[in-house]
Amino acid sequence: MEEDLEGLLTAASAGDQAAWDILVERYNRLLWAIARGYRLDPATTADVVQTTWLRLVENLDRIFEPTRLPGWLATTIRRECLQALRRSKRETPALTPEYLIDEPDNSRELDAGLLDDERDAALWRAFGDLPERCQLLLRVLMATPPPAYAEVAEALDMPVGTIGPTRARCLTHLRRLVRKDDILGGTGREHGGRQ
Amino acid sequence: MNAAMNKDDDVLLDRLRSIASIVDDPPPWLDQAARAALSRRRLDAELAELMLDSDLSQAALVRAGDDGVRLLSFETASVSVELQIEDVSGQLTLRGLVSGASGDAIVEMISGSRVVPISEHGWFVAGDLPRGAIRVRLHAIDGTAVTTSWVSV
Repeated sequence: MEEDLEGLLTAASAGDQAAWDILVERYNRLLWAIARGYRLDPATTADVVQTTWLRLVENLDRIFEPTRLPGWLATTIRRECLQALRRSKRETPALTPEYLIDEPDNSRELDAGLLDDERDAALWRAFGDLPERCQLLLRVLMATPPPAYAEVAEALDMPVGTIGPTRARCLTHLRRLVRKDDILGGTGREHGGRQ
Repeated sequence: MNAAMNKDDDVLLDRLRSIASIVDDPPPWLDQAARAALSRRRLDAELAELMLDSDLSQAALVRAGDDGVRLLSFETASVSVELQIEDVSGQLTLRGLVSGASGDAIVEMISGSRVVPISEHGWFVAGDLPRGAIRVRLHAIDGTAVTTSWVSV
């Protein structure tokens, strides 16, 4: 998949909208997942995703090695997320703009209401009970299309070798949270859910 | 970890991915906005890179005060742009100080832009800005077009 990045970047750099659209199609959900993993609300997430694409536009001629594009995007949005988190911490409640409080703390409860399958809803609520670090990693890993570990490592500033083991620990933790509720279906085995 | 556990993990992660695509997918308008970003390219302008951002620096060293003021500094070889962004109840006021440029500053946002004059001392002000990405475009004294890089405010 990466071997055509150079061609896409070169074409986009020459103003080829179709090439640019392919890049957006490929990475927009990853950028969204990273910002959501950092627990930014949807409005702020949209801001940082847009800023990241605009930053890529202004740097189209400066992208070094094309294969590093996913890493560049991931690093750029991570910085934007950390800035946004600092800003939101600095704001006192009285100064919090309305759109930042659109989403209350029970947002996962509301999200879960969108799911027809009650077991999926319960699984999503359980996901919200995981430690923040696990939610961050798993939210990025569940981007569509599934990101490469190298991209995840850049997005989260983690050594690439720790991603597999951390993923396993976090999913084990999630299973512990849901096991008693029979959310994963059947006999306590994890598959058996839908495919 | 054995292969079976790995397989189970893959299945569980796929299920989470499928849930996320229902409850937490980017809105379609954001996809459109990302596609439209290419049209914001300005090949004619020199890019003033971000040199300093108080949100990323030692707060005590560069923060203007204990309020919501953020300081940003951009530079090219011949132009420097300092921006102070003040947030009052979600409405942003941008104060700029430039050297090496004159005329108007164009404060560009995702939707629309604002043209404000640069005073003889190099100051400009734009109030009531929405949150989101902004950049400032101006002309160096020698006529070169300059644009700051985009920043999220």
